[in-house]
Amino acid sequence: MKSSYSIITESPAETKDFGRELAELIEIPTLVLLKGELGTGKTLIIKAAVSALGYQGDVTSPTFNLVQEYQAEVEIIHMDLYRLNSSDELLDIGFEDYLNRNAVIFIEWPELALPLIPADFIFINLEKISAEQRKITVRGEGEQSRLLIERLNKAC
Amino acid sequence: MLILGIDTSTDILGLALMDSGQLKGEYNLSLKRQHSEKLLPLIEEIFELLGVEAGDLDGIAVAVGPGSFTGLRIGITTAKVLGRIFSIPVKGISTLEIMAAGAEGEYILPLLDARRKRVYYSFYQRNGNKDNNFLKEVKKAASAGISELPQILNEYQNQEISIIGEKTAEVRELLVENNFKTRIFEAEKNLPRAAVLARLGGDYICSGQADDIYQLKPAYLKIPQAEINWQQKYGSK
Repeated sequence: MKSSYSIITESPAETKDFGRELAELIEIPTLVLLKGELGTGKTLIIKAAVSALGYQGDVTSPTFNLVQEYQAEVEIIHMDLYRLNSSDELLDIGFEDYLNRNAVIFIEWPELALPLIPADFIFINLEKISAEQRKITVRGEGEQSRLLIERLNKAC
Repeated sequence: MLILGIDTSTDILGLALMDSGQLKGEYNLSLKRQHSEKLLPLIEEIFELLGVEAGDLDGIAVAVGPGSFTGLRIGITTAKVLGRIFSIPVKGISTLEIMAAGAEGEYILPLLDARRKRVYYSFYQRNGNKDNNFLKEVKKAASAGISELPQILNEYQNQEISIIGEKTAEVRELLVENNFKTRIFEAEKNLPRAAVLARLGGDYICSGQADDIYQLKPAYLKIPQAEINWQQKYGSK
C-alpha cells in the first residue's frame, strides 16, 4: 500500500480538477492541510473543493481574518495561518474548538498547527515546477488519509 | 454560605446557587456554543428568580475543564471577575471531578469525548482520602484512546467501576468485553451537574482550599507527545 500520492498538473485548470476530485473522495469530518509557497495553488484547490462540496459563494484566503466558514450541505472551515507567529496564538482563536467541529477543515500555511492536531489529517504539499506546472503530493496520518490516498491512486 | 457554581466547560451551561448545603436552584442547559451570549443573562436571571444579589455571594465554584477552550475562558473569566469585584474566594474544579462526585460507587471513571476515538478521563476512588471526604484522584486527568482504557485500568479489573459522562456506552462495552465489572447511569445523572459543582466548591472553600484567582487557569490537557512530532515529518520541505 502506497503511503502517498503524487501528480503533476500542467495548468491551473488541472490543479482545480484535483481540488474537485479531492472533494469527491474525502469523508466528513476531515482535516486537510495545504502547504506550499505563495502562488502554488493552495487557495485554487480549496476553491474548487469548496465549490464541489456545494458552496456557491465567494472563496478567498482568509489571510487577515484567519478563519472563514462556509455553509454548504456540510460545514466548511477555511483557515489561513500565514499571519500568525506562534502556536499559542492559534489557541487564542479557539483553534481546538474548530478541530472538534463536524466539518471539512482546510488549513493553508499549516506549520503552526502541526503541534496541535491529532493523528488524523490529510497533508497536501504543493511545489512549483514551472510557471504553470505544479507537483501535488498527498500524505497524511490516520484512516482518513489512508483511504484518500488509496482512492486517489485507484482513480488514476 | 452562598456559592455560585458556573460551568461552561461542555455543551451544557451549568449554573447553581447553593446556600450552606441547601440547593436554591440550578440550570443545566444544553446550549451548544452559545455560552458567551447566554452566561451573563442567565446569571442575572437566576439571581432575580431566587431573589439573590451578586453582593450576597460568599464564593464561586467554576469548572476548569477539560473542555472547549473558548467555553472554558468565558466561565473562568466570569468567575475571576466576580471574585475580584466582591473579594470572595474562587475555586476551580475539574469537570471530570464534578461528574465523578455526582455518581455513586467506590471507583469512578468520568469521561469526556476528546473526538477521534479518544477520551479525556481521570479515575477516582470515593473513600480514598483518610482526612477528608473529597474524592481521591487515583489516576490523573489525561487523554487516551478508548482502546487503551482496559490496559490503563487493569489493576481495577476486580472492582466495580462506575462510568459516567460521554462515550460511556462505548467504553462500557469495551471494558465488559475485557471482563471488567461496570455500571453506568441514567441520562439525568450522566452529566457534570451544576449543583454538584456548587456543593464541591463550597466544601473546598470551607476547607481552606480556594484558588488564587491570578493563578487559576483552564485545566488544558495537552495532546500526548507521541502525536506532536508532525513538525519534523511535515514541517520542512
